[in-house]
Amino acid sequence: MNLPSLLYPALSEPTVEPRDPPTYFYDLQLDRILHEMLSGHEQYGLEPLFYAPLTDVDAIYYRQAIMKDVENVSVHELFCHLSDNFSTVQRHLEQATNSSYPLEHDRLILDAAHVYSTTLRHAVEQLHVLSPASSGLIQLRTALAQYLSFNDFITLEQDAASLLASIDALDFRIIIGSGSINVREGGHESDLAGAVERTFQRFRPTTYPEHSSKPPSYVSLNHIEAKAVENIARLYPQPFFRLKCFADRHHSFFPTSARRLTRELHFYLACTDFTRRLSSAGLPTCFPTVSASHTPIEVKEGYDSALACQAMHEPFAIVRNDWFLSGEERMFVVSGPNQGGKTTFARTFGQVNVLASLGCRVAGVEARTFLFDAIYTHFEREELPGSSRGKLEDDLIRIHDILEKATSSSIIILNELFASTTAKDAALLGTRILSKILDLDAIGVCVTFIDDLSTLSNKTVSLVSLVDPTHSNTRTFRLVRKPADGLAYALALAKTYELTYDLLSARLAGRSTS
Amino acid sequence: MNAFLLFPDRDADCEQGLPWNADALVRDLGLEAIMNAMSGHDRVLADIVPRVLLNGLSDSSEVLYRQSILRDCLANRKVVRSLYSIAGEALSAEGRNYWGVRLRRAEPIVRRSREVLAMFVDALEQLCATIERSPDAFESDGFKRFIEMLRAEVPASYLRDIRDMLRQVDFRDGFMASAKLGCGHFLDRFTIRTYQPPMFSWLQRLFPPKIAGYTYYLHPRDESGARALDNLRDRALRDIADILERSLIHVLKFFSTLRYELGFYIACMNLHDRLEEIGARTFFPVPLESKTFVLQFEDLYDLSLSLQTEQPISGNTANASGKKIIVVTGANQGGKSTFLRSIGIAHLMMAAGLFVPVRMFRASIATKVFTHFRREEDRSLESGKFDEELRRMNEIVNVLPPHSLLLFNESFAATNDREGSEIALQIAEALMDGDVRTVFVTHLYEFAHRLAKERGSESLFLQARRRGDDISNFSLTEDAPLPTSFGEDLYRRIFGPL
Repeated sequence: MNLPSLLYPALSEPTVEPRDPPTYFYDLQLDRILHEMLSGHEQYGLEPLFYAPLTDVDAIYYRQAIMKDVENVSVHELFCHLSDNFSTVQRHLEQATNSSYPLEHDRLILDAAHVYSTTLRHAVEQLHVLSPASSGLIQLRTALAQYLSFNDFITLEQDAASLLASIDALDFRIIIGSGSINVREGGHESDLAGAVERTFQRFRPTTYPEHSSKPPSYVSLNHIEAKAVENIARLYPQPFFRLKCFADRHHSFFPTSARRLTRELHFYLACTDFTRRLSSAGLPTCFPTVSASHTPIEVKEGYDSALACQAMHEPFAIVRNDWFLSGEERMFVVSGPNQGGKTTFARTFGQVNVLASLGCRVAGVEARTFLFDAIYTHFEREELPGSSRGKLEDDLIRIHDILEKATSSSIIILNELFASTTAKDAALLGTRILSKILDLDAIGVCVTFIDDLSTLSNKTVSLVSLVDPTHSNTRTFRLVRKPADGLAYALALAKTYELTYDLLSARLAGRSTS
Repeated sequence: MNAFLLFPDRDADCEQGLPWNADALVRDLGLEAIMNAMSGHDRVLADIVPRVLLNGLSDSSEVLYRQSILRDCLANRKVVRSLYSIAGEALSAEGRNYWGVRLRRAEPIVRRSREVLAMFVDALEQLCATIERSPDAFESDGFKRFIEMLRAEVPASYLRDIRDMLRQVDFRDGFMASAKLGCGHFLDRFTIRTYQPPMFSWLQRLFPPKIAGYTYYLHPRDESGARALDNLRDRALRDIADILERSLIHVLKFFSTLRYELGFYIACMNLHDRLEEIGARTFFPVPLESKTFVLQFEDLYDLSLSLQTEQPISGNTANASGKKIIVVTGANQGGKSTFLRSIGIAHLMMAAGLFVPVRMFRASIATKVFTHFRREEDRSLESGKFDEELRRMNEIVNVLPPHSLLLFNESFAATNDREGSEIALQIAEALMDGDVRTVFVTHLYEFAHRLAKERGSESLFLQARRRGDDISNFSLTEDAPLPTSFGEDLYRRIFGPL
């Protein structure tokens, strides 16, 4: 079976995947986002896919198109179905190899073949019915349809189905006494369980959640069960002979390309599940427009996805921000009080661009992002105990390294520049460094306590973070291009609780309609 | 099979929790004394009472349904109490039985379900017998329906059928099942079939007759085989064990719902007995649909206070029909809070189907009752206190359905009079326009004054006046708000003349 890749357009698949996360990963808290995204999909080794942002706009849109298809509930279900069933097939084949009872071994081959063939048949049918729009899924459908028309596949499919049906039709009885199991052909013995149920029917409430204990699932046969099955085979020799022939004929039908497909499916499942969880927490996401030109860059109602991951478990309000760079603008200079969400903004900006370059959705209702060649981050780090260099020196060396490598297509995020030195020094160094970055024409964010930096040139945009006075202890923040006016205390307070006449009336009116 | 004694068309929800503001209601309205009088020392009742009392009805026909059942109960105290104790005894016996077996294996479940079901069959028989001793004593729709239901659903033949059935469900000597070969030839989809294990005579035991099919005999020393066989037996019995357990749960549910529903009436009877002892008056109120704005009462007193002081106390009379807000101003210790509590208690009791501590009461049912009382224990900064008041108000509005009753006691006074009045007025007017009824005990003069000027026709103003020095002797009269609250009086009384 020869299948196209769902992760890369034809001929652009990289030969090696990175093993370790890039350095900006922890600064932007992408590790936390990834951890949340991959929960439930751990065993597929998806991490490396997130360590390598795409650098080609077409490749990004190739993934976006598939992602849009997978967001259709039916396609999503199909993906889950495919991946679940492929792992079932694999499990059955492994069990068959380990089985010590020939009857069990043969049956497991049959079960695996049946799951495999019905799953593929179903997948191709569904891919026709659902008519996906993405070129990736269309190519997948074509490849699968061709495979299904091969004679080998058709024989496997038909043999498996008819054999299973004849085994399922066997009508035998088991009598379990103390120390014996008798197996015999069925007669006209009536259903006792049903009779009990009918007797107590009248006590049954009209609405009652029916819970039954989960039947123990199959792991492997023990010798008592194997004996019972042997006796059943003696009662009905013919179908069991056919089973043996089947297992001899089809024992290696499962291609390795099916395994690769499973992993690719899970990339999309992980991403769409994450989107869904965000949206049920009331947080919007969108497909960004990605462009290699510097401006315009814009996000409406963006928020920190790492905080959002936390909010999914212990809900708290997350404030969303709009931002944009247009024309000559290249750099956000963020100042304002502590705890005001400055760092959060810096992270959010980075996250949005990285996720966009992976073909994922990003936080916000509308986004235009920048196709970067690399991201460089400089976040406060604890002083290394063994380091002979001072903190300031260390900062400068790190920034120097960044400036060596960065190009005009890079994104540079500087958080709390030179927080460890005097204001005068910080202003001087900050101005110089920022000027260099602006000369480079890179895109970025600079979080600082030095007000002067915000007015360095027409390439900078000043953002001020404001702490809401009534929610100073929660993690809510708003970033504005200029500070807002205060209100009289009591009314302002009433307003924040939506208890003024207008707000309260609107709430009460909304209540009766909803 | 349903008792339907609390609702005409559905079972009481025994799992129902308390409304989120239950603590506030109990504390602000002083419900503890009332609920204690209702439940006595019965822990089952103590669990039922707050949940039924605080989750009131919002439909007047349902209120009337309960009122007539309660009247029946008061007329047939002995029968109702013995029905309650039959249900209670069966349930407590089940509880004892339950703790003995906590295994999740199918066989013990089958065994336990058989035993317990047999016990409940006896209890059912007793219920029917008790009712049949005085079948014509009940007049309410609820009880008549209940009696007919028992006759139709539990005839003697049915009790016999159940007992027959329970005899068949005995698998100690083996059983027969049909099954299918599932994945990996794992035996599954078992269905237990009716089967009589053969009883062999001593001769047949020596020379067993030919048995149909093929039999595998376990070697006596094959311990893992014995475990495997146990496991197979467990799987085969799983389904019927589930069915039996489910049946047991359903029968149990019938009895626990019955006890819950009867329990509430027992509690009402307890309260009634207590009030008769005290000599306090009660009245079955006239409930009106919540959309109307009717509130009319004569001699409405604070039941909680009456129970605590163990004497009847005098009450207030007013007609606030057509008004959306009652504003109470006036003297401290002039009975304002007492009045506010009595309004809340009366609405809660009426909505639960109870009689009301009053000579006459006619009112729209409040969809829900909320209290917003000034919290005296918050001794933090004034600003924090005001913030706390608004936060609580916000929480109430989040869950406030139309046609609710909202009781304010000295709210929004944690800031200065002007600011507090402004906020109070904005909130009060929005509530009035949002069809929420409010009673506002307040010192905010500007608020009361502006409300009188701007929304006078929709508001009722009551003045608290002290009558002499007896603190239990106060009354409210209809009057426009006065600018002082007799604080000076009080000051003088405590500190002596100026």
